[in-house]
Amino acid sequence: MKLFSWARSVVSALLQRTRVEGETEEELRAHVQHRADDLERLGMTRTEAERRARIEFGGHESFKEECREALSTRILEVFLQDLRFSFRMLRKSPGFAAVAILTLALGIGANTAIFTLLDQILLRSLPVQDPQQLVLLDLVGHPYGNSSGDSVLSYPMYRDLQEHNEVFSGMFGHRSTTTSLSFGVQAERVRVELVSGTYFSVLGVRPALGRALTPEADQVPNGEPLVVLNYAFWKERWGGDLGIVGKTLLVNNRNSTVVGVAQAGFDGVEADRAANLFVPIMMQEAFMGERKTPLLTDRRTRWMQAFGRLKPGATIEQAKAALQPLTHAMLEMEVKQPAFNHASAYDREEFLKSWMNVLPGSKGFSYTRNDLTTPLWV
Amino acid sequence: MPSQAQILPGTLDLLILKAVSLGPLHGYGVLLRIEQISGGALLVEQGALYPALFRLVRQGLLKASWGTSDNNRRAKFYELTAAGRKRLREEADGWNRLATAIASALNTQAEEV
Repeated sequence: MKLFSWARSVVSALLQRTRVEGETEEELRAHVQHRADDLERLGMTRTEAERRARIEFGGHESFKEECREALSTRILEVFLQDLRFSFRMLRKSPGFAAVAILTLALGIGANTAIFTLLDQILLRSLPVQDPQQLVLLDLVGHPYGNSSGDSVLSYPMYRDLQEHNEVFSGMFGHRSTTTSLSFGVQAERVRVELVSGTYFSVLGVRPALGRALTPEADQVPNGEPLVVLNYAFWKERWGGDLGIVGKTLLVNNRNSTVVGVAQAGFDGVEADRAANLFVPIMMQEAFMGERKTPLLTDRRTRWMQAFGRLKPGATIEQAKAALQPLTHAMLEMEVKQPAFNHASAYDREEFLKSWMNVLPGSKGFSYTRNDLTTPLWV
Repeated sequence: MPSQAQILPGTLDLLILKAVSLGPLHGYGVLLRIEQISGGALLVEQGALYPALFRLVRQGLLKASWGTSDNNRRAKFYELTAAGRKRLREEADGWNRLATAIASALNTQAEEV
């Protein structure tokens, strides 16, 4: 109750301030008018009288400031009085005070937590170059084969898009998973992002140390095991050791060479799962297991996401329009492959109805974003 | 008409209280009243009046309310509060004692010492 009346007095003091300033202005105007009335009675014209009255009145602005000072000190005095009073009242009823303070603390805490989440998942853009140019490709329709994850494509389809599209200045693919990391006597589970060699250059993420992965990393499947470290992870585990580049880590039971550390603040493109390590997507078999048809050549398994960077000036709508013929040509080609030998006419028909959606990618991808959007805003 | 004098520092408040004690007045009215009751001898600077009025309201010696003047204009009228009346009595007594003391000091003749 005391808190309420205190809040009310603060508000009324502030409202009063503007009200009183207006009143002061009016009062001073009335004064000048009265003086002018008298001067007019002495025989001056109205205009002349008003002019004289204003001149006589003198430094209008300067003493309005004096009045304002008198007022603001008054408001401050009232405010301090109220503050002292409410403090005394709170001391008198410690139970009420404790409940009130606890309620406020919990309320503020909960709001902070929710806002942090909201900011992280819904508001914050990726810390990369021109994030608004990034888009995520999303093939909508019936897949014929396996799909694991949201907005996933097969690796061969991603490579086809990368080579033949005319709307993107660059594309990259990625897939995140967990793996084991050993260094010295320690071992732990870490989150790793399998990334194409174009990942860092298309995002515009620079290495803080050493070098990033380059398109050469996309050449040979199961090629050289390289690893780029997350900046925060490097600081935490190796205390920012500048000699880390060139060292060997045991990643997923395999000796891997550290080639660099990524730009500070960059945690990968998944908003709610920071990647500790970045490794070439060519290494996927080591991380995701061997298959009869390797994922890097299998068109019937969709497992990785493809991002594009729109050419300057290009819009999402333009990209969407430009990608449809290309997508459809790929679907037509796929449906003629032996994998579809046993597919029903219905399956083929539905498969061919698929189309390529283009989603804004500036905030990266989040598995929880869609589920959390409504509850967080509400 | 006697020559006009600037008001002594600290006496403006007293004069305002006196002027207002004769009946509610708006700011310009206060000026005229002071000029009138001092027989035109005291001149209040127009701009100095309002900060003084504000100060007195703040100290709870005057209270203000909006009304309509004889000239049919909206204006803020000031009147004494109980505290203002009390303060006026005290200040007036103090001033009279001081004035008497100074007058008697100035009237002293050599043989009286």
